[in-house]
Amino acid sequence: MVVVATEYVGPSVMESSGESAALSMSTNERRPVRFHARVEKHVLSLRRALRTLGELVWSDFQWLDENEWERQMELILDPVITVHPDRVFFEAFNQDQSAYGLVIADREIFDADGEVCCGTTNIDFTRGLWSSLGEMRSSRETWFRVGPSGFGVSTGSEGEHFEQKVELPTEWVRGFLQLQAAMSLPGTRVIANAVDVASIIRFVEKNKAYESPRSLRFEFVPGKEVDVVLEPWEERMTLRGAKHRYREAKTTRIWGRRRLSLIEPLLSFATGVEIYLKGRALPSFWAVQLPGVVFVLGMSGWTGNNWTQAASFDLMAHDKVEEEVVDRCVEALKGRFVASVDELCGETGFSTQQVSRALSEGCRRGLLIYDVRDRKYRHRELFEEPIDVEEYFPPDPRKERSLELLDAGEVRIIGDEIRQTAGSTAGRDGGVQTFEDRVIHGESEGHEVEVVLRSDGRIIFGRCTCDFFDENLMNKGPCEHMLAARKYADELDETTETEGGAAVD
Amino acid sequence: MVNEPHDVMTMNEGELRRHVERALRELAGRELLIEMQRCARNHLFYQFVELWGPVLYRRDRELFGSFLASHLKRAVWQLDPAKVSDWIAAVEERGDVDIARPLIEAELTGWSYSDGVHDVLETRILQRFQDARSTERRRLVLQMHSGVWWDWSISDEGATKLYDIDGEAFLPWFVEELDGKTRWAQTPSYEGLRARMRSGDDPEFFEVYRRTVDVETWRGDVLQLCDEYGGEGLAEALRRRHPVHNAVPNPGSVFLELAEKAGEAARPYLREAVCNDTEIFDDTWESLAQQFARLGWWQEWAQVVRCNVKGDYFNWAVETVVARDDTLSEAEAMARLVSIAGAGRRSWIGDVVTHQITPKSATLLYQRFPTVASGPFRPHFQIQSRGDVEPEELYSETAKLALQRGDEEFFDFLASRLFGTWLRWSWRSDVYCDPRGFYVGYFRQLKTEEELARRGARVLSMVNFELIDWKGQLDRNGLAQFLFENPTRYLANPQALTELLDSTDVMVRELGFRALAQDDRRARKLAEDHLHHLMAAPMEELSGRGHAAALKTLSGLAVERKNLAPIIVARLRDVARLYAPPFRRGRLLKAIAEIIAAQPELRKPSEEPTVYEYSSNRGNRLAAERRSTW
Repeated sequence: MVVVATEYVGPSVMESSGESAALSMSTNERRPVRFHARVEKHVLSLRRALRTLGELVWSDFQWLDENEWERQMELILDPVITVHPDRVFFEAFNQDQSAYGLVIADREIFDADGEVCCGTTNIDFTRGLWSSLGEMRSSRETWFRVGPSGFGVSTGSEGEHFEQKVELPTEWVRGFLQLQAAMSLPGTRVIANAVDVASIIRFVEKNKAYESPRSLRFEFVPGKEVDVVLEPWEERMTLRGAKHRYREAKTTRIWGRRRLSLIEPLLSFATGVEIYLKGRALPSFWAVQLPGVVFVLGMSGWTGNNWTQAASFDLMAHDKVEEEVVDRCVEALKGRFVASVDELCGETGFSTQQVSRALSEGCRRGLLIYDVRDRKYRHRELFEEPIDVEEYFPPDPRKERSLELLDAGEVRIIGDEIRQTAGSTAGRDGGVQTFEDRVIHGESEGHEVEVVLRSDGRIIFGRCTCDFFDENLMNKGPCEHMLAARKYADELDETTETEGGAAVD
Repeated sequence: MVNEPHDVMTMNEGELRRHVERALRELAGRELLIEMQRCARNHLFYQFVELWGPVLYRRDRELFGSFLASHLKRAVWQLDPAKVSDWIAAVEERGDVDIARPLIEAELTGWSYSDGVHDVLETRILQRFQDARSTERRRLVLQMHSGVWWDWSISDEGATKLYDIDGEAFLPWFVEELDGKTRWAQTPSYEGLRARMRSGDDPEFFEVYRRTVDVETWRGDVLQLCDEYGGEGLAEALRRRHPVHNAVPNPGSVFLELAEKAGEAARPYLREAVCNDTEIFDDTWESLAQQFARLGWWQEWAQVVRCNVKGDYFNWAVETVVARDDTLSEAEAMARLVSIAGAGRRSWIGDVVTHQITPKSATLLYQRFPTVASGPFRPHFQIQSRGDVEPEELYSETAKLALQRGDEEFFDFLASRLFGTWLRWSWRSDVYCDPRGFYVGYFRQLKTEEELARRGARVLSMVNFELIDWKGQLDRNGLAQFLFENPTRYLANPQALTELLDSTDVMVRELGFRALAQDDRRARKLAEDHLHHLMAAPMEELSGRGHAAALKTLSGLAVERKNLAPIIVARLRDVARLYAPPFRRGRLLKAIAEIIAAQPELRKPSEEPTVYEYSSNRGNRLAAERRSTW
């Protein structure tokens, strides 16, 4: 259990008069961050995104009985705010941990006043504040203040200081961190029109599904725009202008479409929506582009498959991480706040593989965040004190079982080849880059296994004939046979390298 | 198995049973699962659980597991446990928690309180717990019995026995069970269990203590600690014993005794404790506030006044601080007042509850400290959630003082509080908000339209709470009627119109759109300035009136401004693809038609009108044919 202690000088407040408004977000005194600025433009985008974040924080899409609900409500962790030189962003989880919200406000919409102290902290975010946000107007001069000191009129108060302690269960923390693993999974980006996304949401809202599957089926047919089929009605909607590069027809199903209604109020004002699909029943991320502000909604594979319990996406990442590389990368990001893998390779001198693995590990420890849109890593320390990784990520039974299989000699590699895959470049310029993926074919416990690894050793795809895969596909991460095959292939590599080295000697 | 869903829905019990039997015979795997899901839409499906439950479980518990877990919950009362005893045993043996729970629940449905259902359940758990071979199995046994009887709590004796058998398996489950109880649940005191844990120096003792201790035991322990610890370490010892989740009702009396006995040594603990215990009201909190005041602990005093005391004490505190000019300087009094203002206790749904200031206290406060009243105390100005309030209760005296001081903004704020009344659900049918028209009278006498627009928009933008009773407001609130009756007036002040269009409330935004739709020169000029609002409007869930107003403005703007027409038509065509009811689409197509009729160059090939050259002749010919047939 993590005890998150927060100390606020006073509650967050929104004060407005006919001519001006000031949103003062009280931050955790134990983690000083200061950002005072006048909102120069796009005040309404900021308001809409923050109100949607509030809606997300209190939303719950699971059917819970009274006791469960009450217990759930006690686990509200105040949203986290991070101030970076180029952006200010807020993060929060919803009640049932099946949805994650990220509001990214461009620093260009602000005119900073005084010293800016970058960093991450919790903010006091109540329903009262959420209501008051409604008073933000484009016609008023709006001030945005993030910092431990309370609002002007309240200074000199001697009794406003308050402390809160939230005891976060281990599963909750693990969920938040697993999200990072899910965000950095490779996937498909679809750029959609806001009207088409709104159509999907409204159709689901206005029609009742009596049967399964209740999913969104993305259909990629070569040479055609992306189609979304709403099941079980088989209602087909084309995402106009949504291109893809698949050379053969492909279908991706995702669940949890009720949660999409969270972004519905933003769509009237949105200039576009970027959808990041990570695979069948895997998490998806929906980035709603507003002028000056982006709202990213992350959804777990389905509501019951919340981030904290069922998902094991961190198993996809490679477990062989060098502590020194992690420390160097985190240290480098502390200084520059944001960087791509290549930039960090240049700075630290380590290989792409080493840096990629180290960055994934940094995300897993809550030290970094992966920006799904820019494909860059950012420094963001989620907790005041570093967490104990051993406690939060105890040995996974599948991983342990894979080691047993290796010890028992139950793994055999049949084929190992490099396959070139075309993908889009990191920017949103529509460029193409080629990935060299490693495809391993093997056999374990009588099951045929296929694992596709990216250059950093991350499993991006897999197939197995075992029951676990048959039931879950990759929804709950790889099965023990895939893990064993990857480990075995790694061991073979190491042996080859060692032998090669000896020969040179 | 080709049966449309409606066929399954209309089957009687016999037909459905035969259908299910056939499905179980002929289908397998996912096909069978889909067929079972279809059958489950008919409520009679649950009448013969023993037919499909055990079979599906035997066939493939991985595939049908979640189906069984969710549907068995609905079949608890129909299931005859005697017929499926083997199945229940198999499920328990395999430790399928989600399936076992409804089955065990079904087993208990035949029992009642008088039959001693609690004892039956406890005996069942004890027996299985004892028979289990490992700690892991014992954990599963406990999980399978969680929540099977809604108000059941294990007895002290039973808990002690389970603890003796395997504390490692028992304690995490027990703590979770206690945390899951509502604060009103009746649970035993578990003195025996605590004594056993204490004697064995169990490191988890305080976790159980904090969840099970009763107020008298806790009081005794707390006071004893005061004697044991001179000052060093007292706060830490108290924290270890602090009841969690408000397990102890009315802790205020204990805090009071502690403050009296330990004084400064207990202060760090008390500061945290009063912050966390903000849910329960009782009179001792007021005594505690008095005690804090006597000790000069103003920070703790302010916390208790904001969060724990009743409204009467809060108002008394305000009046007392305002009146005590002999003992407090101006700055001190202001600081004291500010310290008790604002966010109060947080309710268990995450909401902030703040005290309501009475009209009398409000007037006294505003007289002496107007900036405090109109600043930090704003959240305290609330009108009771009922319509039948007297004008005096609408802070009319304070409002008069605000007018005397020329504080228009605060006056407008007080006027906006009128929208907090719930009129539609009032128990009286003749309720009318502000019956003597104090506020509306004031707004009616404003001289210029510009001022009226500015002030009216400000009142509406200060309504920062979720308003779900607009119909009631427009029917029975004179101020609401006045502010909504004539949208044209808002054209007199462009900033006022922006205020309306920026509002989060859909009714207020619609008022802005209605203003822009007026046949007025100013409206056409302002429409161009607010193009971004108008472009968003067709996608918004506005009422028919608001939607029509926005579209009318857009089409008018496009017809008048040729340079804007392509953008507007493109947007409307875009939105025409939106999934929407036919009447909305119709309105949208009408707007597009109006624009392309005025500017034919914007037509797409498919929108070119088709002219049938011989249409009238053909019509005549058809009419003649019909006549001859007749």
